[in-house]
Parts: sequence; structure tokens; C-alpha cells
Amino acid sequence: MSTENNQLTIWIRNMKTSREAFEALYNEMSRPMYTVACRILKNRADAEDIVQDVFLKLLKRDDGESIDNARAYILQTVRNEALMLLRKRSKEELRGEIPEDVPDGETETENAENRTAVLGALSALEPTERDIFTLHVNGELGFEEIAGMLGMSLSAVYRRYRKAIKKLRSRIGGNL
Amino acid sequence: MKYLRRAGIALSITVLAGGLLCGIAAAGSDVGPTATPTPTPAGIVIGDSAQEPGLEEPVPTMSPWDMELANTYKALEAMKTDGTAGYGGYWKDADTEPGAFFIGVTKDADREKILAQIPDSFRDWIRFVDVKYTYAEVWETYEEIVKKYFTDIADENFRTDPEKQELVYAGFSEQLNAVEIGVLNDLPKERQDRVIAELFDRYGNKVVIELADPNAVVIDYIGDKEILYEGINHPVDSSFTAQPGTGYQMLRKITYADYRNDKKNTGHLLPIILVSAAVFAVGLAALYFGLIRARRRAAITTDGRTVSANLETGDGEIEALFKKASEDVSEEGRERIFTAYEKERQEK
Repeated sequence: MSTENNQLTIWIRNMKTSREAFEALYNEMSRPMYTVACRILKNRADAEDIVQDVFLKLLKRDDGESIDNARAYILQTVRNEALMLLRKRSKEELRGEIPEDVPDGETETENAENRTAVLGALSALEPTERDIFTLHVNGELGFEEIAGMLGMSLSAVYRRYRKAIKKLRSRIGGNL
Repeated sequence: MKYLRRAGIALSITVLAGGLLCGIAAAGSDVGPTATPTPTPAGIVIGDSAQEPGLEEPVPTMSPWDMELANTYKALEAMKTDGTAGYGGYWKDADTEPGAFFIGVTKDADREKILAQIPDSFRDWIRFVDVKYTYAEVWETYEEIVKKYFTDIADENFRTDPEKQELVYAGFSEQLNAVEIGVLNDLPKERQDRVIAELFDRYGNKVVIELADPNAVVIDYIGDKEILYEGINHPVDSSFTAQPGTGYQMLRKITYADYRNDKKNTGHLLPIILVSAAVFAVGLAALYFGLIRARRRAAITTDGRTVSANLETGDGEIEALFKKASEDVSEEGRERIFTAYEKERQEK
């Protein structure tokens, strides 16, 4: 287990009694969790709900239950929750909706333009490609972890990742 | 695994292609142009009586060889000189006993006239061999070769200057209806190949090359006379007594047909060899890149999180851009999550 995962596991265990531990865990994981949820749900409010649900699940966890890879575990939980929510709702209603371009507080025009380009490019990816790309880039998971999470072979994950990179590169092109 | 598999496939293809082409090449050396049988020289033949294709009945044995042979030689030598006969052969059998006496007969020779000059007691052992050239044609070739390659026609059978001389003898071949030319076996390969090519390209099947070992001295006897043994292709003359060190043992005979087949084979194999080399190079390149990819892949597997981006995108700019575009939970969302957390913690 890596040092980072050790730390995450400690925070998960201590968050039951320590707000500081929860805050540290939140600061470390909320961004990737939210991003992963956003990419699947394409809805900010729903994504925030998912992030909240997952944190509460972590809080309720049995202490005796060990976690081998805390980061992968948390992001997989996010993903599962997001997919469950997605299934519950009408897919037609959710698909094609891209999260709001500019998050609260972001005012820089250049950043806003970049963000729009980035999100638009992501919509060109197939769902699995987007999953893999997001889990790797935003979730900072290794390919082996993603392969385990998605039930795919390592080579398949890597192939799709490369494909995603190519698509994104050609889509974004001049913005780089 | 994918790239390792690809590398494996590339290697297999390389080996298979190489093997296949080598197989074709190897087969090509036995079939195709080379399968053409070497033409049997018209009218063989002097030489090993047991092997002569022209003989239909057992060759009578005559032993010991007597002076009639010498007389026959003399007669034939005379006929050769005045152009009456083809050229005289000499005897040989499988063992040491003399067999038939073969006389190469040029197209324009008068056989009856030749026979008339041979001692009666010897005529039964005479076998004529048809030569496809006229006497003049063979003689001209012989003369030209001697003049061109030997310092003095008297030196035709001896190498006088090892540094300058490439041929060690020139004579008539009854077996192959051609001028036999002894080429030194101890010449550098390049020089030997050059002179052989030069002779064949100029004279075609009028010549036959014999690779001769200058260090071999082979002595035999006719009666009480020492002669050079067959194989050194010295014009046999009963008056000639061989001197040690003057004989050249013929090691290998190369006919014009052999030479052409060799050239054909080389020409036939060259494209195959080139194609094989090209396929092999492509295979190696595929293998190389397959392994490179596999190695990269292995690096990614080891630390996919940090290494992959730079490997695939060159500088990870795509990843950096999208990482920068990560979503942040809104302030309201954050407040809501923390409130929920506090509530849940207190309940527990």
C-alpha cells in the first residue's frame, strides 16, 4: 500500500471522531470525487449529492473492514453511486447535458474558455473512454486500478485511454 | 501483453518468412534452372572405361601396355599436327590395367585414314569419340589461349611465374571436346574467379577449366616410362619423362555448363536473398518496435499513474489541461456535505 493510501485510510478511520481528519480527507478527495461524478452524471447538483453520499458511507463504514487501496475504493464507490443514479433517472434527460461552464467564483475569461473547450471535447469520447480518462487524469488512478475497477484487461484500458487522448488532442487541437 | 504478443507475432513472421524464403532458395538451387541436366558432350570419350557412356561392350584388357601404344601416340600426334585427326586420347581403366584407347575425332576428321595409321594389333582397342568442333576451331582456341596466357608456348604446361601466371597448362580434352585449361587452385579466390569467368565468357564450351593443385606430383608408368598420371592433363607423350614437381593434379573440373548454372543460380538466388533480407529487416524492425512498445507498456504498468501521460502524449499536455479542468464542489455543496457529516457523526 502506498504512503498516500495509508494516509487516506487513516483519515477514513479517524473521521468518525475527528473533524480534522474528515476535512483533510475532503480536501484531498472531494475534487476527484466530484469530477468523476460530474463526468458521469453531467449534472453538478447530482454530482454533489453523490459526493456527500459517499462521504457518509465512509463515515458509516465498519472499522474492521480493511481497505487495500483507499483512493480506488472511494472513486469506485463514487462511480457506482453515480451509475446507479444515472440508471434511476431517464438517460435521455441526462445525456447531452454538460455541467455549467463556469463554476461558482470562476471569473477568468481564459479559464472559462478553456473549460468549455475541455468539456466539449470530453463529450466526444465514448462513455468507457471518458470513464478511464477521468479516473486516470482527475482521479489519479493507475491503469491497473482502473482495470480492476471496470473489470477490463489492462491492455484494453490502456488502449482506450490512448484512443481517448488521441480524440481529445484532435478535438482540442489549437487550444493547446 | 498486447505488444509482447505483437513482438512475438513479428518474430514468428520473420522466422517463418526467412525460413520459407530460405527454403525456396534452397529448393531453387535444386530445381528450376539448375535442374537442367548438364548436357552430355557429344561423343564422349576418353577416360575411365568403366564409366564411359558411349561403350556398349566390355572393353578388352590389354596388359601390359606396349610400344604399340607409343607408336599410336606418335601417329596421332602427327595427325594432330597436320590436322588430319582430331586429337589422340589415351587409355585408362578403372584399375591400373590399360583399357580402350580413345581418339577424339573432330568433325572434319577422316576416321579411316586415322585407323590406317594405327598399328593393326592395336586397332581393336580404338574407340572414336565425336567432337563437335572442327580441328581448326579447337586448335585456334588452343593457340589463342596459349598465346594469351602463357609466356611461351613451350611453357604451356608449367607455371613459370607464379606471380603473373594464372594458368598452368592447356591441352585438348577428349572427354569434353574442348581445350582443357588448368587454373591454379592456389590463386586468391577473386583472381581465380576472374580468370575462369574471362575464359568461359570468351570461349564458351570450347574450353573446360580444371582446378589444379600445383603441389601435387603424380607419377605413373607406361611400360617402363614414367608419365604424369591421368588427371594432370598433360599431353601424354611416350618420349616424355615427367620430372618431379612438374605435375599438377586436377582437383576439380568445371565445364561451361557448370559455370552457366552457377551464374544462373547466383542470379536466381540474388533476388530471393534480397527479398529475404528485406523481409527479415522489416521483421526485425517490427520486433524492435514491438519490444519498445512492450517496454513502454511495462513502464506504464509499473507506475501507470505518473508515467503514462508523458509516454503517450509526449509532454502530458492533454492530461494537464483536463486536470486543470477538474470540477470543484461549490461552496454551498461543501457546506451541505460538512453539515451532513456533523449530523451523521453526532447520531453515531
